[in-house]
Amino acid sequence: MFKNYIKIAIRNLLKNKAYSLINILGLSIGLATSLLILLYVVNEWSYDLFHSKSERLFRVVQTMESETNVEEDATTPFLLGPVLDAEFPDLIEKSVRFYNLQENSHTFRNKQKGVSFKESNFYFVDSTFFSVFSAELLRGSPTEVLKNPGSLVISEELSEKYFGNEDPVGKILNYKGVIDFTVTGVMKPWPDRSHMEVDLIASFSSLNQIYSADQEYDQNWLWNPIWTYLLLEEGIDATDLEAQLSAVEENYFYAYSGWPVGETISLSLQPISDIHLYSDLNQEMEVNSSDLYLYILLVVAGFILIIACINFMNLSTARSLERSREVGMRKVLGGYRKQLFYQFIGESFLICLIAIVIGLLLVFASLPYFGEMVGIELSLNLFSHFAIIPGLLLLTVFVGLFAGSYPAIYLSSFEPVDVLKGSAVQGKKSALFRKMLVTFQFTLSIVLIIGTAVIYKQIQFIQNKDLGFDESSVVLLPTKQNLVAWEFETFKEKVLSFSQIESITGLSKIIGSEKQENYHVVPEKFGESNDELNLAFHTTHDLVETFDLKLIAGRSFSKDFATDAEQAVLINRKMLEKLELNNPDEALGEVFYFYPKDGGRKAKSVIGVLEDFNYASLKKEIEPLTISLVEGTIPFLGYIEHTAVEIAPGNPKEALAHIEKVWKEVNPIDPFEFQFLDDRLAQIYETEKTMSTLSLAFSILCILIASLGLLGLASYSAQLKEKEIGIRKSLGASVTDIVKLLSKDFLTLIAIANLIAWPLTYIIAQNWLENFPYRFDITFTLPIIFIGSGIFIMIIALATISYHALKAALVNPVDAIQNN
Amino acid sequence: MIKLRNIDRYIDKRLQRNFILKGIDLDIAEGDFISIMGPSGAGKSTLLNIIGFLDDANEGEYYFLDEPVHGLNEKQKSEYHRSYIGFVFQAYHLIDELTVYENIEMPLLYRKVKGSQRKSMVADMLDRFNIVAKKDLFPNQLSGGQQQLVGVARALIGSPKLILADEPTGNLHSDQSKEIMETFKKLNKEDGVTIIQVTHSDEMASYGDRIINLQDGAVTENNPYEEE
Ligand SMILES: Nc1ncnc2c1ncn2[C@@H]1O[C@H](COP(=O)(O)OP(=O)(O)O)[C@@H](O)[C@H]1O
Ligand SMILES: [Mg+2]
Repeated sequence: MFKNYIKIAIRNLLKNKAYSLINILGLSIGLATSLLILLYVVNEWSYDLFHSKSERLFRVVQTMESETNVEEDATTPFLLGPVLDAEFPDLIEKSVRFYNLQENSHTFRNKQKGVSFKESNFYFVDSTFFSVFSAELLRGSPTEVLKNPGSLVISEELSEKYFGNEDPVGKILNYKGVIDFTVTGVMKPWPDRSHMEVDLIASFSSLNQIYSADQEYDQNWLWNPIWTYLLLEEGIDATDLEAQLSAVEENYFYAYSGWPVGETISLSLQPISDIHLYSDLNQEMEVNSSDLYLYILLVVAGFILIIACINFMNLSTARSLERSREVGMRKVLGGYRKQLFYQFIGESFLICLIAIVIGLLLVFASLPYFGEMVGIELSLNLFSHFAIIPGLLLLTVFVGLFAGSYPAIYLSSFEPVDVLKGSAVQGKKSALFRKMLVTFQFTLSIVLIIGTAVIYKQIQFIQNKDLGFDESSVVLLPTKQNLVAWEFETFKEKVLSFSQIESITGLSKIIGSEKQENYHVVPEKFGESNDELNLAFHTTHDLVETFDLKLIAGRSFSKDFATDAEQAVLINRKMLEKLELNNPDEALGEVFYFYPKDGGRKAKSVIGVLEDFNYASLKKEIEPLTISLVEGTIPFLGYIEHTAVEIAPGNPKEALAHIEKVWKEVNPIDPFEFQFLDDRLAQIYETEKTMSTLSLAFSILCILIASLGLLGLASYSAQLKEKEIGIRKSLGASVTDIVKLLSKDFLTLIAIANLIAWPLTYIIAQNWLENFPYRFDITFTLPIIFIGSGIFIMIIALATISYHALKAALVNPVDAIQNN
Repeated sequence: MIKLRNIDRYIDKRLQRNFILKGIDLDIAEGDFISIMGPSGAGKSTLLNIIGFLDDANEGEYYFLDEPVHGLNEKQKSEYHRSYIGFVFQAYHLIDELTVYENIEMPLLYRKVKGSQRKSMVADMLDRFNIVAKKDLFPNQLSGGQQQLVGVARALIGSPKLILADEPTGNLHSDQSKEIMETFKKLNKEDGVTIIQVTHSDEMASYGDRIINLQDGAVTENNPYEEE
């Protein structure tokens, strides 16, 4: 019987090649798209699961809180790892510390060959590394390679880079001219799906070649430059350990002699597999991701699969007439309704199976392009995990059931008498249901199109929005506590000596970027007891010049006033409003009390008022702001993290070469690294940009699949109306009349779909746009987008339908009538 | 074997009730060969469908092998279709996507007959109707008469005890018609198969033992030949 089912299924597929193609192609595209999305989502979800002990692996993180500031760090003090090991031997199997000297760039040199490179993925790690993480060694033994000071393990790739084909083990790599490391092992490449990248690791004990023993660098409980990972004992719950951590906070952190009064510390554990999607702390090893967009993508994948399934349902039920005799006869010959249901469900499984094979081919073909779109290298190996093939089969069965159930129920319900009489098998009910499904499909398509348009429009708006400062031609240099910070005035003078350099200033945070800091700053006007936080920005001279900020009252900081650093403050218009002053000039002389980190209180009076500018990203509203001047090396080290250099417009190469030259003179240790401010600001909207590319791609696919379905239905309805068309034509109907006759129904459905989609997308768009304080004018633009996408989808649908309508209209009427 | 009592079949249309069959009483014994005659639209097909469980009466009682039919569930009805009743239709109603061989084989599949046995049974049928050469052709590659032979073969392969044939020869030449009637007659006489056929032709009707005349949904004349 099974053979009989297969035979008849295949013969039916071959009999109506065009329909089969539409059906299978639609499903294939839908499945391929969903698989791609699934691949991406699974990839994101499976970060750090490759560690065989990932369930027991945690990272210790800390939150330091003062009255004015909350600092959540991914890093902890030096001694935390060993202390935890010693305090909780029953809970913790092993700990591993990571340390990168707080630098992102490390120079290694193979002196023998005379090659040197900068590496960013280098860490000093404890010798427990290989027994905690699942890293494989190609050379060397896991217990030996990190045992001694001066040992270095490098990745296979780096081995080739530094040593070519030679065996690197036993060879020397020089680190920054300071340490001669001996290579003791070679690692397999570290998997991409990790929140960290590791290319080189040195034994932690090597640090004693950098720090002298009397520095007691590792005794400081306030300095937290270390990533601490714990492997818990089997069967231990992380919350058990967490509950006992307060003892460590008490006995080590608070007990530390240098611990600042009023600061609180709290330690917590992060499962290693959660870091990539759920952790966004200071000092993350890499920029992490977020799971919000994953859920949106999954919903879109669902949409596309549903649209493809609806095609299947529609085409199968529309064409049920052709199978009705078979159903009737099978029942006459003793087939149960249940058997017929299984037969048709089986057929849809078969079609899904074909579709998934084609879909997989599409996935393989499009994977590189998709990977480029989402900025991740994705790969699919069907045999890499035992669950993949069963999973795909399960998906096939699921889609087969979803798409095939309704047609199977419908087809198997035919009664032999009705078939024998040839009476209306084409039920009104199924026609109505079909119309509803088509409407639903197009509603989803329109939602996606409008969504794409809205995202695109908003990104464009943000990119073109006037930020209130000039972000072009500004180069950022990291100056947090490095030699340039120590020698800032020299550096500044030397950089400015070149004609292409316009101005230079130090910044506490990058202007226009997301993260800004709150400080305890109180306007005198509001009384001293007021303990609210305000944004306080710190800068050196020439901020206003470098960013072309607009002064609306008073003056900017000036070298002519030696007291500016101690007594002067700039505010923005928002602060003016907060002070309930109307005229900017009235604000001049207003006093603010500052409570700096090192204690005490400073009174500063307003010397100037600036027009509002977006010092934080456009994802945040402008808030009242104070800007203080930092002068002298020690305050600079305390507050300033970046240097901004404005260069003359035009070719920046010479200017950059000059800055690099000066940098190397002032700071021979740190490599020269720079970033243009506009590039840096564009990064903030990276996720939104990826989303807009993805949603564009997916709405195109969505429309494609829905149009395929429409093509099938239109051809079917043209076929049904062949006779009617013939008669009408013989009565003198024009081609346009015929096209109208056939398109009318479908276009009505699409019009309804628009009417459903508009309010729906209005709500969704409004919700999404609420994330942005700065958004394009919805009231005016949204209706244009609505009507535009409505017309767009109408045109596509009309073009699809017209193909068949025209074909039907151009047939010789006599043929059509005779054929019936 | 078949006992119909006061069978009504009607269609309700708004305020009006249209009777297709009204007050049918009928007894058919095992081994009967019955021809139902009457003008087009008299309700012959409807009666045959009711007898074959393809349609249900609205009123009246129907006993099949002394069992009330309204008490049979879907599955029991299907069981009868599998092993007891064979149908032959005027429009043949072969399955277009299956070959001659496969069409004939179909009832055996539902009866779960084993492969080897199925093969020999289908081969016998092909032999019996002289269509061995056509076994791999599809229905639309055959003439009407050949298609009906396949239809009959399909009805007979399950060795039914009752054959219901609705104008089986309606679309055929007289030679072909005779061939099929001879087959029925032989089955009836030699194997004791009960046959109920609908026909417009007196000649075809005469192959049977008894004629039931149907007019406007009612039996007008039962068995005219015996009265003569
Ligand atoms: N489902 C139905 N709805 C309406 N009328 C029907 C239906 N089935 C049969 N009829 C009507 O019942 C009458 C008897 O039909 P049928 O049994 O096919 O007659 P016959 O086979 O004798 O030509 C016809 O007039 C037909 O139009
Ligand atoms: Mg009839």
